[in-house]
Amino acid sequence: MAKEELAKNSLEALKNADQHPVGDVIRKYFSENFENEFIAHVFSSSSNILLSILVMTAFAGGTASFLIWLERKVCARMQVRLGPTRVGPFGLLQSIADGIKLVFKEMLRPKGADPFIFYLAPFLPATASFLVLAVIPFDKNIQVVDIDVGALYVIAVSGFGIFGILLGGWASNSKYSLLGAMRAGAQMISYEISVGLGLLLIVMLSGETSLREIVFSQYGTVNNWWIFKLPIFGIIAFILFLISSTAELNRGPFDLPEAESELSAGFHTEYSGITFSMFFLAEFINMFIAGAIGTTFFLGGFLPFTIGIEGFDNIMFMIPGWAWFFAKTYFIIFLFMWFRWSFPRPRIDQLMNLEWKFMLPANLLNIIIAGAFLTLGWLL
Amino acid sequence: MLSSITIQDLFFFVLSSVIIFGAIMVVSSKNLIHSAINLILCLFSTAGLFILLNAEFVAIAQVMVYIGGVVVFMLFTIFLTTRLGEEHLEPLFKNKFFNGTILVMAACWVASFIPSVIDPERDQTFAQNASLTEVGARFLDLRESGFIVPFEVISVLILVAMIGAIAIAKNDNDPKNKDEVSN
Repeated sequence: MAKEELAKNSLEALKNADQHPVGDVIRKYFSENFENEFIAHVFSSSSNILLSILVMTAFAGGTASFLIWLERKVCARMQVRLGPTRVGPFGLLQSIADGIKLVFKEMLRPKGADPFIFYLAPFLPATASFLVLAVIPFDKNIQVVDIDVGALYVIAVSGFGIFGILLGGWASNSKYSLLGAMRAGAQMISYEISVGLGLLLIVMLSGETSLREIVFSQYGTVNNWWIFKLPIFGIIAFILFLISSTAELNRGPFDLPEAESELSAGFHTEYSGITFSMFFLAEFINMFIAGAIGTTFFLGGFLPFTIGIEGFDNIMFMIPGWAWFFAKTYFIIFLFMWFRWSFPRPRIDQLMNLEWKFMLPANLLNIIIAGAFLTLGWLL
Repeated sequence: MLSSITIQDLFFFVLSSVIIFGAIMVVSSKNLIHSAINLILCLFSTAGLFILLNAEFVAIAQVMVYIGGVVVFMLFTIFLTTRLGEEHLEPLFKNKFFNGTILVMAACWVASFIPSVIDPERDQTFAQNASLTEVGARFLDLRESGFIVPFEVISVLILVAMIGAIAIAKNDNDPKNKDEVSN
């Protein structure tokens, strides 16, 4: 039994995949031949961390600039325009040009603003997004760290981003900023509950909290993805998750915190240059994270689209896991962009009614029904 | 000496100094918002200490409940009640002799724990990492080792507090709330 060759695409083979294929190659060049034992010890412990931080920084920057370009293109196409075309092929370098412009702009601080908080606030949302990136499983062997309480970590750390918005809006000493910040705070706290309940539903069904294990709990055919495995209510849960994460991202149609026609620019009215771009960066990385979390919890993460026919499945397994992950994630991101440019903005009281009088009871009911399905064994 | 320090010790000293610094700033800062930010720093470092102790669940709960809940609530309260740059906070007790006595007594009480902590015969190994499943099973355990009664009592308490808050906030009889924008 032990000698038996594992089938190439079986669950065990995927779980036992080589954990550090890229890291090992790079680490080979930094051998630990130090005179001082202590430095060698610190270096060997920290080299993984430093490498991960480096990769994630580059990844976050690249993703954010690509998403800004994509947003402008999608928006333009929906409004029968062309979008950016001049800088680079298809205007791909437009965001880099914008980034350079923003970095060299002057940072203005309004009179009477609290300098410490005013300059601290833009970095908090970016920090929170960075911390969440650490647990996302991009592929069976590409994940910075697989912690046991991954799902709870995602909920806890993404709540941290709210401080940047609240403090930034308050420290600007402007009425538009403060109104925007209070709206954003109320909105994010409310919709965080719905996002959390949506994720906890999957945690309850799969019995796992590590994101990697949640992906593996969906192994099999496409019917085993949680969106389809829980009959009908899986799709409802996914739709509820999409609505609540759109609202938690402060994106249109729920972009009340920065409603241009009412509040000029909401909480970041007074920010300019690099401080403004940090808010912007966090917003776009958060959109990627929301897509990645939706992919991991509902759409089978890095697992390929298989239908149970061997020849077809083998072809699908030839496509690497990270390609599947990014394809699914960008599908959800496209849905977010589609929402933004299709729906009108609700009023603030309508938004709050939607969460507290519809989304929250619906989520709770969904959890109860899913629990009944789980105990009765009605999962597909 | 240097080589005997592990990376855990290093992190412990860094985190504890951050906690002490944050705690001092919380009580000494005259601006309430600065106090709240330092409280975030303090609580976050405490979560770091829990991770060093292999208590991941407690660390996550610390971040989720204290930082994501309590401090956000504090910030909302401060925003709605104070003005920017207001630094006219008066201490509650102005008698320096009284304050000093309280401080010394508290310090003595804390110091009385030191001998038991530095006892070399004490078991100094790290606790085993408990998985979330074990934590959850322990919460709902009906036997003597379980925590089902406190767990349920806390749930009922939170429910009562929530209903009470809604009842206070609703206030239907107030004539000022009558001319609200209808949907």
